[in-house]
Amino acid sequence: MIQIDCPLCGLRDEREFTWGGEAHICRPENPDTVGDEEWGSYLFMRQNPRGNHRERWCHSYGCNQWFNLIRDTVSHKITSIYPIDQLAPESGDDNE
Amino acid sequence: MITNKARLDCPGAIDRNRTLRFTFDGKKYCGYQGDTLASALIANDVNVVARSFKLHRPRGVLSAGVEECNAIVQVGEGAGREVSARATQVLLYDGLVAESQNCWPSAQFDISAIYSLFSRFLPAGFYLKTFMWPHWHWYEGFIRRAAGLGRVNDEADPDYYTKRFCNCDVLVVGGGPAGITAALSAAHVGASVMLLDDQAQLGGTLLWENESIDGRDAKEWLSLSLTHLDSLENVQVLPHTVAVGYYDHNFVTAVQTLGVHHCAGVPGNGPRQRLLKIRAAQVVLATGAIERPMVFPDNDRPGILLASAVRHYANRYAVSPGKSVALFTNNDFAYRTALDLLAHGVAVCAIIDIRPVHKSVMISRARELGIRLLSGYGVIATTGRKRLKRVQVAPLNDTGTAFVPGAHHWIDCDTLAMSGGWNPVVHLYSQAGGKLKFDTEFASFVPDQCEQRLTSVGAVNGSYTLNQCLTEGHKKGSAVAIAAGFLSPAVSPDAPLSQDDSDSHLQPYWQTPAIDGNSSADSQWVDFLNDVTVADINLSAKEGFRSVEHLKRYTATGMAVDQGKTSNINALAVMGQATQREVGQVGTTRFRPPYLPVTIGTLAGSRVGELSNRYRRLPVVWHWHNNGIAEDHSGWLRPAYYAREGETEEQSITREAMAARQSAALFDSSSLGKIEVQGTDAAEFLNRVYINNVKTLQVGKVRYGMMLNDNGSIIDDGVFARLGHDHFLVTTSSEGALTIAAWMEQRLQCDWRDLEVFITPVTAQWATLTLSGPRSRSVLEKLGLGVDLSTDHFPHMSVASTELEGISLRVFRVSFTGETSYELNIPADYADSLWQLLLKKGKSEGITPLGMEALNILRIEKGFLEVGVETSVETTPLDVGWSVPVSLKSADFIGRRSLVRSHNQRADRLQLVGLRPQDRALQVPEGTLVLNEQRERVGHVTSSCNSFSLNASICMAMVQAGESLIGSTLVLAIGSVDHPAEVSSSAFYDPKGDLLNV
Repeated sequence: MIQIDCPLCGLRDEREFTWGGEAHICRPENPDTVGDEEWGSYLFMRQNPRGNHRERWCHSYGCNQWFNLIRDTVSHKITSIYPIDQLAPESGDDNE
Repeated sequence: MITNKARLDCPGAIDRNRTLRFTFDGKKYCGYQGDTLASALIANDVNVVARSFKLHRPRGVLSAGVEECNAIVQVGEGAGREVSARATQVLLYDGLVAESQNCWPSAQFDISAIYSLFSRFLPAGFYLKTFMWPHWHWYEGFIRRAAGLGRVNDEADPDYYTKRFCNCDVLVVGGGPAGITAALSAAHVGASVMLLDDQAQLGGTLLWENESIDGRDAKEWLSLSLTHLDSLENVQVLPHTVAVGYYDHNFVTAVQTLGVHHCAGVPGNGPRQRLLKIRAAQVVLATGAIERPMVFPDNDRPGILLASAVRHYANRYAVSPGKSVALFTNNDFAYRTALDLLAHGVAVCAIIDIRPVHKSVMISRARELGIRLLSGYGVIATTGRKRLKRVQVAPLNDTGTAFVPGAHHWIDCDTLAMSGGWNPVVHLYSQAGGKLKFDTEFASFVPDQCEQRLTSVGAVNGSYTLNQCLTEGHKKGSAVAIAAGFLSPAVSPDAPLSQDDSDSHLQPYWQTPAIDGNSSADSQWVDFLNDVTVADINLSAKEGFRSVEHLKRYTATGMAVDQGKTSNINALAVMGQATQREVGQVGTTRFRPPYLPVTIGTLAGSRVGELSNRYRRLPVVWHWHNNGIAEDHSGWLRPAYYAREGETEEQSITREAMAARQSAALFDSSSLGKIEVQGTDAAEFLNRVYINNVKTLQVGKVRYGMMLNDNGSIIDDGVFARLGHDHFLVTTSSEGALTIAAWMEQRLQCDWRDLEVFITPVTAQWATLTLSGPRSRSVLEKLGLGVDLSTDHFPHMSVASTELEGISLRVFRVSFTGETSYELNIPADYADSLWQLLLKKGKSEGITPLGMEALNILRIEKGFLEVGVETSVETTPLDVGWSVPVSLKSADFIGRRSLVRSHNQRADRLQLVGLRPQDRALQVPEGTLVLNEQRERVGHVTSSCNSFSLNASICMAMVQAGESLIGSTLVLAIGSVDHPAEVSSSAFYDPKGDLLNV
């Protein structure tokens, strides 16, 4: 069970949070105009990296606010926590 | 009168004034306070305490610690009986009853021992290879019975358990010399410290080794140190507490035993065990090491023990496992056993040392004492069926790889103390994700590096001398406290010092070479409990199972209840030799929690019985005083039906359903999910999440809608009402109440941050009571709500907000039954009063309380789908007849794009239809397969009932290309009988919905 430093509530146990999958997935602006392949890629294709992963979390049993963080999927080390509407800090972009 | 034949004259740590009686395999014995079951059995000269798992070979006590793999017994009686307990870990108490396992009638005389005669025909993988035809299941029952380990206790556990969350700066696991000094020095810096030890008494090896620290007896140092720790406010010492799991971010679970033994049924006794969930800023592992056995022919006989265990029994419990002891070793450390035994007056007949003659302090001392020393010798055979009688020894050649032919001879002895070196207890380190490295000097795996904030001290690092343990503990204890944020103190005490600093000069000896050209691999035991020999591992290598993961599963080595604590390293080394690899290259399997077996009750804690699954409860309690039969529906306890005297269950359900169709019924739908959606963009928001057009909905009106995920699958359905221009009330299924609100919140916070919308889940705040049936309006009118309820003014799909005696009330005219219905929303605290008021007012109209079962019949008659029952994670609105609203809506909504993907447009998708069996009385189980004329599977029944209104059996079903099959006949396969059924629309009752507008 990892610990997450909620930007509003501070350091709490994982059991208070909900995982929201990979962050920065962009829904195509005009879905009607994109092809099946692009739409399928939006729906299903994820990076699933071994290493730093940018992902969404929600402090469901606390402030109920969503935020982004960068977590190492091997060591579970969390290197950055940033607001939901911000781009990932440089350090987290080694999967691009 | 106590007769402990094997008891020594030395005092030990037992209390000879307190005699304890106990029973083993039906025979009565005595021991002393301070004994374990194992030491008491040894004191009473009980040699055979168990039988091995596969071959039922007689086995005696091997060790004195948690690693015990032979003396596995059942303890206690009746409901409190515990299986697979280690006799070495069971503290003796008066009246203890224990039995051996895996044998019948007893460990002494076990009928299944006949298996051992066929051992050469039962190699690794024997069962997998032999019992294949026609199928393993034919043999499984017999084999499982033959190879059990005790009888599982199927009675409810009479003890109770609890849990606790803990936090500390420094967690020290292991209360031996290294752990104690680490705790002392971390505490001195000011950190809050928890010190755990798996034994009832702290001290580790200090409890039984003859050592000195700071010039005084080590036991005195121990007692002073423990007193000091007890006096410190920032230190918690937890004996009898074993750390079993090491998880991410320094989260450690530990099992604390509170009662010395079962406290079953004794009033006033506390919980038996407590599960600790510890979060520590820093962890120090001082988990020590386990001595490993030597591998030689027939090394599993009763009377062959670990050298450290023999020393432990003699020094601490004042028992000697034998009168004439030989020692077999590859290191200097084990010589202590010979020296200590001599001091207690026990005869040491020989030290058999595989190493060539060399000089060391230990060897000189053994020589001075006149012990017969056989340097460069190995043991090549042993005799004695239920007790060791003799060992045969032979000189090894210069390289130690073969025996000198013809030079062997026998030595009489009743006990052989063996030492093949030490295995550090790296389990928790590995669980933490730490990497291990093979230390060639100690011939074992030791901690290397780990991402977590932990450090290891003492024997777990391969630091075996007492002085190394004390120095490491002292140094690292303060270092981790400083790393946890504490300032280095101005003055630090000196590290305690011991005289013991001797090297062990270990020389690896992993198995015994062939003797006169004959291999004895099939009699050299590696895993005692699972009967794995060197030959089994060689076979595994020969058949290609070389990887450590394959080796483990193919031979079952390390897979018994002891999880290979004594056997793993030997097995890896033998595999390495069979495949010309170093042990380090073979590697280890990753260790998994728990380190020791944990009682399921400890993990459950207080969440047993009624507390194991907490139901949500309806605000109306009238049901439970009026024969409402409670059932679990999506986590809510709801009335299935209301029983009446003289009625069968079916009659009650039919009576309730008839009332809804003919007069009036009252139903508690408070579990219905309710979410308030407010804000200037509320309509825009809902328009994006519903497949329906929300913006055109007028204030005071209600619409039925579906929500999809972006794959196009239905995630929930329900009605939504427009209470004001910027105010909606959304209803969801009972299951969806929490998840849909969270899902909406996520959309708003993450994806559509520009929308001004507020989501408030109000399921628990508003109760919902549903009045349904042709007489329902008459009943409601009697409440005098000041709302014109006539169809002209308040038609189907309308909503009105009003008051009843000053209490807010919302009236929705919607229907889940097909009859005129009103859903009344009232603050939950008033639900029970309103329910009773409606029953009273509706008495003259024949009002009847209606349960879940009758409601289900009514909705199936109407063909209303239930999300999660009719639909699966793949079902789209197009599959259930909702293509029209989708096609009429021009704006985008979640899931819309996916509906036109080719897969969702396929003609052979499962579609919702009705089925009418020709046999009108047929009872169709849900899930029944639907077949076509060729008896190919084309679908399945999702809901079914016997409708009294239609006098027919009806089903809702998902059928391939179902809509195109309406009018044709399919087959319902129930048991071995096929029943023809006509495909129809799923709207069976009042298909046009005329009754809704009455």
